[in-house]
Amino acid sequence: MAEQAKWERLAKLVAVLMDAPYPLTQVEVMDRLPAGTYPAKDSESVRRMFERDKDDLRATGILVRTAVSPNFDVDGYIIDREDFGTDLPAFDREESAAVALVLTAMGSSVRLWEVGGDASADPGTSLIPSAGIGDNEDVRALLLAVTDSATVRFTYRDAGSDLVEARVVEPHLIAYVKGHWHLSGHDLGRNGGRQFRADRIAAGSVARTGDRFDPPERPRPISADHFWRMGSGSSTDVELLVDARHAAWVEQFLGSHTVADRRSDGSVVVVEEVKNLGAFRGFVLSLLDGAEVIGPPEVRDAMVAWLALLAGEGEDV
Amino acid sequence: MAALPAMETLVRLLNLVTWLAERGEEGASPEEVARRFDYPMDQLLIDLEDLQYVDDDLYLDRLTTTDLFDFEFTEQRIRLRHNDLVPRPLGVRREELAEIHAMAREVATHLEGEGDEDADLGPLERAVLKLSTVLGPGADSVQVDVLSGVGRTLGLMEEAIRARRCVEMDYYSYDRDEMTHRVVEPYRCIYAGFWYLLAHCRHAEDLRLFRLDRVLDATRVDEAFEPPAEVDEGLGGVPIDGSLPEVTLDLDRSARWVADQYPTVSVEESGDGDLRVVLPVAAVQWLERLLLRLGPAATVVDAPTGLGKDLRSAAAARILNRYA
Repeated sequence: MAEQAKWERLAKLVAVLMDAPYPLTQVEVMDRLPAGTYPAKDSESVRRMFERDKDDLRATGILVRTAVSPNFDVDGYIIDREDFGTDLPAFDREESAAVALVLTAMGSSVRLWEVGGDASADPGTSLIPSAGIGDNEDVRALLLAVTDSATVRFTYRDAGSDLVEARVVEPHLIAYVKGHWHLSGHDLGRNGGRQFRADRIAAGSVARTGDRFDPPERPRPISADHFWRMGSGSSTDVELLVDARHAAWVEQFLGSHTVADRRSDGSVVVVEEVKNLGAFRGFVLSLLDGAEVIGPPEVRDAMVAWLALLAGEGEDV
Repeated sequence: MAALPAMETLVRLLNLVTWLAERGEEGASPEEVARRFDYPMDQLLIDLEDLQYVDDDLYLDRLTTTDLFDFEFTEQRIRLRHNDLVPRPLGVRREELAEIHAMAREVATHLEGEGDEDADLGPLERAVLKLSTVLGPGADSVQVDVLSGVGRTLGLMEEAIRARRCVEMDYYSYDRDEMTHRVVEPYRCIYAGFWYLLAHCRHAEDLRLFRLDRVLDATRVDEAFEPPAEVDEGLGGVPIDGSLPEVTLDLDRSARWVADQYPTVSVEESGDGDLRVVLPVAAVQWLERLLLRLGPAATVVDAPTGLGKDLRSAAAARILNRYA
């Protein structure tokens, strides 16, 4: 009974705060509620209960705004009708079952009825592989900013340089690729398209500037390609001979389109378009003596020089 | 079903009223409402009646001139004639919906081609369409890519896990730098940037994690197994408890990523952005690769015999032989 009384009290509070013409003080809220809604014995208990109720409402996603009361020099509270809830689709049972599988595959704890689905359609299997898509408040803020076309600012640590800087960005596209959220957008400070990885954004630093923008018709795609394929410089076609024991997975890893020759011993020659030769060298060396750069000569020579440098160092520490 | 806690009751009620309102004259049976919103049947009508009178003695002057809600309970149907309080359902936030839409689209795209192209839209495609409509033009600005590259293998493993059947596969072991042939009992598929299979390997007679993009020629075999009641999904981590040999490296600025990417026993800043790290070594080939890749950006400060500079120089000489 006590629990039931609580939801009714909260529903009344929602109604009063949504009806409010301006931010209402605690006293003004109490005046609009039926007597005894807050059955506490003293004003301090009432205040604490009121604070807890506002926190509970916020925890459910109801945005209770705080602003100075126009009538008294204390905080007032209001719920903006425009902030309340989300437009949801109405899924039938079949669609609900499909969405349930998607939620499972995401590793999401969202319940079907919270997205407009039919809870009874959940097949409830625990054997669906879960991608466990992680996110946090910064990613959520970016997701919302992207869909709202709202400019954001955040503090960002560059991958290579460890330089930490404030960025102001028009966010165009956000994608979860290879286990990370990536953001693509127009960096206003640098006046150009840039890509950012969400885990390099300082926690809690994403905020809206208040500006809006017209989203581009074709946003710059997120590139989470192999590191050596990325960059703005010129590219070199590197020929790599891969032994049979690595051939199949290298083909799978780089794509069949890279295979230029299949040899009778099971080895393959792949041709990779490389923009970052240092990064590509790392990949080739990960194959140890199972691969060999065969061209062009300058790339092969550079690999030989690198190996000769390391081979000559000798003597264990 | 047990009674709902207060907050759950409130959230479900504020969610279901808009759904009921949209049903209009058709309304819904109490059973349907209870089922759809996972609401205790014996509590539903009581709570809806209470909700109907929630505005009694409230002072309101903007939301409504009559009642906040007007329910009609007749002939085993519930209809909502009037709702002045809830403008939209209190479901997930818009950004969560965008994320779900992106994943649903990814799964739908992955399933494309498995059916008849001319067939009517399937349930998932219809759901994606409905989500797109609700989200508007911004919907496609959120993307999820977790299935590319492993689709067939992931599907095969998923089927084998469900059917509790073994899988025979060729697997490239990165740590040992060799192709192996194994029969495994698949337990779980796990995503952590790449897809992994957690399975009992009959070859190793132990639990192993396999990266799915290194699985080749996998085939489900007609051999049943009984999965254990509980599987330790924490497998695959490199212990940093001193049970493995450790190497100490000085890394210059350009190699700081090593401390982010691999388990470390300790990390010390040594000025100018350089780091001194102590790394556990689970496999010699792993260390060979790392040292070869880092080159002069890493200096071996301390290492057990055979895991220091000599390891790197021997590996470099071995590879250099290919180029002779």
